[in-house]
Amino acid sequence: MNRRKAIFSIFLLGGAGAISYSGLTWYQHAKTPDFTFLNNNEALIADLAEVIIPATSTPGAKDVMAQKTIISLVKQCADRKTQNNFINGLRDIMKYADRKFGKPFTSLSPAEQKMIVAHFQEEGRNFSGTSGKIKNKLLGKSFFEILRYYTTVAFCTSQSGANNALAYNLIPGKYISCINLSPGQRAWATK
Amino acid sequence: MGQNQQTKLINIIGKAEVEITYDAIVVGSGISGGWAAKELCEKGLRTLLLDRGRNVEHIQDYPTAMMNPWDFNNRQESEAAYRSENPVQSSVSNDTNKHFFINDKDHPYIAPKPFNWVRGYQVGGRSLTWARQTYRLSDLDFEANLKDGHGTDWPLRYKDIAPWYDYVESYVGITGQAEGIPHLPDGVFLPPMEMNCIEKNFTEKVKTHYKDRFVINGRAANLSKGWLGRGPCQYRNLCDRGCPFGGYFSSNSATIPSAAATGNLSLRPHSIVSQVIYDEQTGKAKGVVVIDELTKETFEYHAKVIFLNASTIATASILLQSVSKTFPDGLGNSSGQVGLNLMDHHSGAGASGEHEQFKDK
Repeated sequence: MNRRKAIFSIFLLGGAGAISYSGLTWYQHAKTPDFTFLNNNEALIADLAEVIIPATSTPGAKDVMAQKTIISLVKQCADRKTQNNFINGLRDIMKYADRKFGKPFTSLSPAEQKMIVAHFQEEGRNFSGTSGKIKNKLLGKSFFEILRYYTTVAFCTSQSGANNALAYNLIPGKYISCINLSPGQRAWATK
Repeated sequence: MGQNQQTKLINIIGKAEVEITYDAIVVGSGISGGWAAKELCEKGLRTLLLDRGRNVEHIQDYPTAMMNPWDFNNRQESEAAYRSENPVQSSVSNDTNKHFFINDKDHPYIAPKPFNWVRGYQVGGRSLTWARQTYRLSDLDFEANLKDGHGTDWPLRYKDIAPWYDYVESYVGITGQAEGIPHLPDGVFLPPMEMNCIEKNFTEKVKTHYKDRFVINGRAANLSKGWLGRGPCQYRNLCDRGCPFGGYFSSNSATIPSAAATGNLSLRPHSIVSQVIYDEQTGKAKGVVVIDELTKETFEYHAKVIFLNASTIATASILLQSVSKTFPDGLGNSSGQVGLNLMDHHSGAGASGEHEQFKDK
């Protein structure tokens, strides 16, 4: 058990702590999500998504306009907790970029952006096993987990992502049970 | 089953019909109702097939079947509002197939003891969205309660039902492989879908370690080759949107068109059966009362043969509502057991593991 997990476990056990904590976080998770803020930060979301799936010889997140899909998915499909975690996460990213580099996230170099996202990845890493499930249930998924999930969905299900970066075929027509993978072979776009 | 045969389907809407007497009435057009209608029609009986939902015509009423992921507003993800309004149906449906599931808000669940009962109110019912796994029962099943000393012995054994299995499988088309396992009898199979390398490896390993455990291909109503004018399966993994290739078995792709091809079928969608009419004079059921889903008008249809194939809960519900002098607690409910003892469908159990080999495959 690592330090974070140990602290979280104490949190779960400590009755008084848990009650005062849940009162505070309940508001953070249950409040009406600030969609205006979400809509106004399309450029930030585009940069964040590009860190997750950068353009190489194949398209990246920005090429498929992942930010527009992410915003729509957060608004239409995510539950309230996830919506607030994502929006609060965007605010945290802005603050952290300012504190660390004195500049907005969108003005940073790709390397600096990557460093910030890596920080949030580490911070948002969930615990393994039951305490991880309890944490997700109580607090929802972390900002990074939400960002990575919706970026992946937005990219893999986009026309360009599916066809130009991955392998897509609406009607495969046959099933080949086993083939040798060749180097650089594209993964299947659909599950 | 070509398009031309489907046009023989007769759709009765509203008051247009004059005929109220048929040779047979089948309530529900899902897997078993579709089969009943096909058999009755092919034996020459003029058959009325009722379904409480809308008609779903094979191919033309599969609106999402040819859509790409990017054609959906939310990339196939279900909307939060849909999930919160449909807590039961949304556990198995998504944005690509939700039109084949009921709305929990219109059809709420009262479940003090939780159960899952997925419902699809349309012609074809859940035959459109079923998981297509198709296995034979054996005497292990038919004799289990007798050996354990519970309940009443089944009036039949595997040998009685085996020819009917043959008959049904020969029509449906089941992909699978003969294994010679006594308690999981082989059937009439189309070619199996080949196992992949890790599946083959696992099969071999289990065989070397255990004499009494078998790893076998799943047996599914997917057509590994073209069958009776349907299929073959195109391996799209989008079955539950309805298959425009007829790659799997559904009432819509198979039994209803076969029934219609005889010229003996009348299909009446939007027909909610409220009760079976019991004739005190003859001591037999003589018809059904139908409420039109759209107009709320009530109709009576009569027949000598009545099949209730409305799915487990709805069939029990119709019987309980069919109150008469002889059956004050519902038709066929002299035991008082109709509507009780629901056994839910268990699924999703299993085991998983990781393997280091075959990373280049």
